[in-house]
Amino acid sequence: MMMYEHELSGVPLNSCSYIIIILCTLSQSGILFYMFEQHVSRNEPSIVSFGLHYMEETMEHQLQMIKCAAIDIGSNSVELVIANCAPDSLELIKDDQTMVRLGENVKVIGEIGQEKREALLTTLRKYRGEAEHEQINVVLAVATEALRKAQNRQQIVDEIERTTGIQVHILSGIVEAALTYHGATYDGTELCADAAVLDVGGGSTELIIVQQRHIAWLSSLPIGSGWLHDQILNSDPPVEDDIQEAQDFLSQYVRQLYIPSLPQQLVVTGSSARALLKIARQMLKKDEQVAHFTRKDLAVCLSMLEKVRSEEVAQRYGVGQERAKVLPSGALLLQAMMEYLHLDEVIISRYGLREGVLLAYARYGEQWLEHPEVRPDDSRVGVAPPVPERVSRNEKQRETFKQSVRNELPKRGKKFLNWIDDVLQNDDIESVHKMRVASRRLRATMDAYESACKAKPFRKTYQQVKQAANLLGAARDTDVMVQHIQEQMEQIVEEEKAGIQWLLDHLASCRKQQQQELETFLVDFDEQRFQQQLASSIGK
Amino acid sequence: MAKARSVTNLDVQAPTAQNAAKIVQVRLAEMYEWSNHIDSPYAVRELHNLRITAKRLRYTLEIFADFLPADCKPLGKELEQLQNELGALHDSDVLIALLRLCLGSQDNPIPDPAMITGQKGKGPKTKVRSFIRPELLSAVLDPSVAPTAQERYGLEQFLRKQEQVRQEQYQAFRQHWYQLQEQEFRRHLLNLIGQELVTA
Repeated sequence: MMMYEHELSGVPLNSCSYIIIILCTLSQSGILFYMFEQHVSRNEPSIVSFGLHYMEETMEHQLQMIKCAAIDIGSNSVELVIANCAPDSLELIKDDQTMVRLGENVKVIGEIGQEKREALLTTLRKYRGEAEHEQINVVLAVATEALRKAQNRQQIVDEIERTTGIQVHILSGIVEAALTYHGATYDGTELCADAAVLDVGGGSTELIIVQQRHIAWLSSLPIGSGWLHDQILNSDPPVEDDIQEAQDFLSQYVRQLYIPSLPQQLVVTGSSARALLKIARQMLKKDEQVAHFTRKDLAVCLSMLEKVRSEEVAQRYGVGQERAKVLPSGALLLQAMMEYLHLDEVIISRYGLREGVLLAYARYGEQWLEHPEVRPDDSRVGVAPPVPERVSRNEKQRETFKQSVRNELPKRGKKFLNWIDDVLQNDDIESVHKMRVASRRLRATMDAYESACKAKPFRKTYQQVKQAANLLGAARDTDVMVQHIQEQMEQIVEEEKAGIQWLLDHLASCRKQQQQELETFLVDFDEQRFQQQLASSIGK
Repeated sequence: MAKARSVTNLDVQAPTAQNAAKIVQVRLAEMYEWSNHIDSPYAVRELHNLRITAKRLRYTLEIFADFLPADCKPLGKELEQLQNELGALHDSDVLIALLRLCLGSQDNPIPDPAMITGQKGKGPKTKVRSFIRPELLSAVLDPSVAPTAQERYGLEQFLRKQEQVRQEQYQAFRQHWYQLQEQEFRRHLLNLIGQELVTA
């Protein structure tokens, strides 16, 4: 038995005394003790201290624990955890996950198809076997967004129960969020009072705002890594245009969230987030124990994921290939949330929904799903912004060239104009790069649709874009050259550095001049007139 | 610079997919126009034009992604890689030319940067247009801020290393280009969009 040292301090003992400790009451989490001082010359001992001592790893405590299994049927994966559970602690025994991608089916056909159903049942049978092997009677299975949305959900739930004996609870997004919060934060390490928890799932994303260690606000957003992959980022590796589209969508979407306060800290959970941390640890040679994940880590991961196919990502970093496919989407979702919450760093938790389920069961018993801590009242539930319907590919296919120019040209024009303020702020060289890319895309779009446009306004607009592209190109080329030279600096011997520094100084003065020219052009740039010209190029 | 060619045989009332295929066909032909310079490592302008046309083809595939077969997307990714390889090569070409001019001009001062850039300026006009931006040249060719002997040494060493880097970049690009030809990149893309081979 271990007692905390500070609890014994401060008891003044006479040199002729000795201590008698009597352990009186065995409670679930500690022992009530009485401490007596017995003076050699006295007959009666006197009480000097009493209290409740908490113990670590006592046999009694272990006896209080219940061995349970929790299964999370998600949109991307089906996951199992087996643990000894107490109201405030878990001892994990087994952990397993299988990518089934139920969400993919639901998106395409609105229900779980035969193939996915078989894969799900096979996985659950395997998990049932693992639970039996561990002699577990309590198997708590929950399902999230994919089953919430599937038209044949009841049929699936019935079939699971009939063939495996597992009863599945389809959770509402809000209950999912509350359970995730309990799971992701239960160990409480380094967590400040006003924090937030984010679960980047496959079909949905849960955001929970915590004030004074209590849920103040929570919402379940109908966007997840698998969803984003299927909607926009479906090439492997993702193409730049899709990445841009996903970033634009996410930034606009999260801006519609109205959270009560900005958190000081964000705990992120979900298998994609954990896989990103695993990759960052390997790429940046970080300690295996590090759970902090910075924007820089995210940028490094994203830059790799944009170039490398999922198969190679899986091989290089030891993540499943199906998981690797949805990682760019998971990374972009996390990036959008970090930007929205003004955070440069997050903590990735090893725990999440499954652990929340186990803790809720250990705390609240059979009625775990009905407890107010699991089913928060409506006053704390935040509204999830609706997801705009995407025009289906079939509808797109029917569009005439004249119709598509009306959609494409203003869209590309707007993307180009969106960067003006950022370039003028001159805080980040990436803004110049992004605006240059937007200008090139706009030019390529104009080149493609020229024959569907009116010649005179088209030429005027084209000249303006070209002029902007040239100025942006000049600034960007210098930035790239400076970056390249700075990277080389690290490998250059001392006596050569003076020359490189001379070059860098001259390039810096050149870049300053280029920025001035660019700013002069952009300050005078009439955005409204430009949009009007673009519109008149298209005609009625 | 390689300008985009107008695509003339389009029907604005026809489905976009049909027109998109024709535009891709022309952009593909534009890119292959520069392919006979692949084995000339120092055909700096031509390789730069290849990069511009590859980029334009890639953007065209992206713009019309919803109208073209989904299998075109991986080809766009190949073009992106090609464009990055050629981009790195071009950046090295500019840097090398700048360093050479900078080091050379200290021995033989250039009276006016416009002589090199081909821009309108005070000096005599030249037909040769440089790929180095004039403001970049002005910044490093200013005789009043010439590098010291120690700085010159550093610049010379850096130039040598950069030439080595450039060689490696060219080999990487060339290898990738021929890999794509072995995979019949052009034929594959034309098949996907249902178009015949045209030469620009």
